[in-house]
Amino acid sequence: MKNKLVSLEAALAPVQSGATLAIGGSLLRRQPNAAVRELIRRGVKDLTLLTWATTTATDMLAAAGAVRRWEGIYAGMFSHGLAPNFRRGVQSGAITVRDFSECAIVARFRAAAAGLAFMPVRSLLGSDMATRNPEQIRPMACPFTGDKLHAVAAAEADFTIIHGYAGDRYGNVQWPVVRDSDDIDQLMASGARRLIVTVEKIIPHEQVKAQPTLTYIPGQWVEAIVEVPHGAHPVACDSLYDEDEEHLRLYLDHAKTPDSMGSYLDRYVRTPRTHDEYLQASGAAARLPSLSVQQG
Amino acid sequence: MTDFTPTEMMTIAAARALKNDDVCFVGIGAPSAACNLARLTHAPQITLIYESGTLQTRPNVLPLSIGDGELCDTALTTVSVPEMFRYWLQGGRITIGFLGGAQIDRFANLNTTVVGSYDAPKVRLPGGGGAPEIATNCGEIFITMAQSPRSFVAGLPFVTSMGHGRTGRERRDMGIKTKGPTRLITDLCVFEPDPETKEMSVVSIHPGVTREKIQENTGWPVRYAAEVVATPAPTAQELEVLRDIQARTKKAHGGSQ
Repeated sequence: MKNKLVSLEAALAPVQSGATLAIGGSLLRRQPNAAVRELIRRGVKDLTLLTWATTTATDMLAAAGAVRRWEGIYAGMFSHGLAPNFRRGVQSGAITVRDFSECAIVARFRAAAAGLAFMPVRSLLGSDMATRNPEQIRPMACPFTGDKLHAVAAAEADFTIIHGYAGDRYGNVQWPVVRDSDDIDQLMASGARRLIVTVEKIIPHEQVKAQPTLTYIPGQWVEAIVEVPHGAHPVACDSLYDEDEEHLRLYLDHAKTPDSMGSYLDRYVRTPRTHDEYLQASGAAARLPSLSVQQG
Repeated sequence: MTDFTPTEMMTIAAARALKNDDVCFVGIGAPSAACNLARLTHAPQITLIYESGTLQTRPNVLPLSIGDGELCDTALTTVSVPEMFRYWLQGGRITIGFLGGAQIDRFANLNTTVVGSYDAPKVRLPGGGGAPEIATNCGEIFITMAQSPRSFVAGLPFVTSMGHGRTGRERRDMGIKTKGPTRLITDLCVFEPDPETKEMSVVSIHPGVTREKIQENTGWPVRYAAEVVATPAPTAQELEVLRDIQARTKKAHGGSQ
């Protein structure tokens, strides 16, 4: 087995401006925010994002002017309302949006994972998601019954970036429970061309082997694995820490105008040279004990 | 009569629409409150399913999101999200889908995507989530939304989830076998689709509400069914159970929702 454990910088170095990225997480959980901050630090631009229910990852990239196009099911700040920077980008015409339903985006990743150009869905009948996107959503008749369906194009990402719980140096990634809920990270991983995984903790290979049913992402699929404790901050990583409401409020205060959002990015994203420096600068380091769910 | 708010009336009227043998796909917010009220009153055996894959969940407090741990902890089991959408929803195992939205039109189509044009919107909303497939795949759809001229509009800029289509004929024309929206429960009244035209028509008016008030809060000329009844006021028990779960929720989540 090949050692795939690298630094955050090395893992993301191949991601260049203009790339298409599938980004994991759902709502305020396991957004790969440390990886996103590294991309912003590097000044990567002109990205196409494919997401499930996205919050901070897409909104920060939008704030940095790094998003050209977004395809997904939801982009907002969940209980905190709309995603201000994403919203500004879309309303100004800087970001092109193509909406999908949950079944439709699941079908797109399943197609990618199966090596098919498309997958049929029934979900988008009557929805303007289909009429506004003839490039990726096309009417088709079921070859057996003649029923009206849509073909949705495979989700072909250049890179897939997710934040997981634990993995070994060979890139085998484990989930703490047999059935995780809410996101489609494992499906995204199965359809990835180049998969970059940040994890909370690197654990010994022997520990991975001891509980094989928890290994959802085999190392063969993984190009690089990176240890980034609290890598989802300011959102949550289930079973380890909750979202940092205080920092989310600070983020949203800054997000009110492009200028103040620019100072947020300078102070919390571009100035800290490492993830550790970010945790110090953002005040997260001091608050981490109170966000821990170990006692819960 | 006991005092109650229009929102409480809406939640209670929505809860009454649910039956014990329903398998209900629940959205967060007003639908979630209504479904759990039904479970805690007249429909104790109702199967509630949230899109995060939690099956037969029985939350003690209302969840803040589909991924709230409370849902997993009180569920029979949890399946993965792709499995939920592939086999439960598309597989036709859900009898009722319960939706809300930012805007609705007279054929109960819903918009949660944009206000204004799609390519240069006035307001970009978060997007549809799983609502489009809930609308097409569940046996029938209940919608609950507070009425206002901004949310009950004559023409939607974007149909995120199809109700009865832009003309009322789309479901049949497209060969969709599910019923679509069969009930729209608002803070003022209850609408049901006209059997012929599928236009949502008022069948029941909540206590203290006038036809003028309904019209003022609806962006199209409101139609009424041949027989319009008065919605029975909330019972003391309905109000008590609803307020109780909301108080527990507030306590558990520190004030939000």
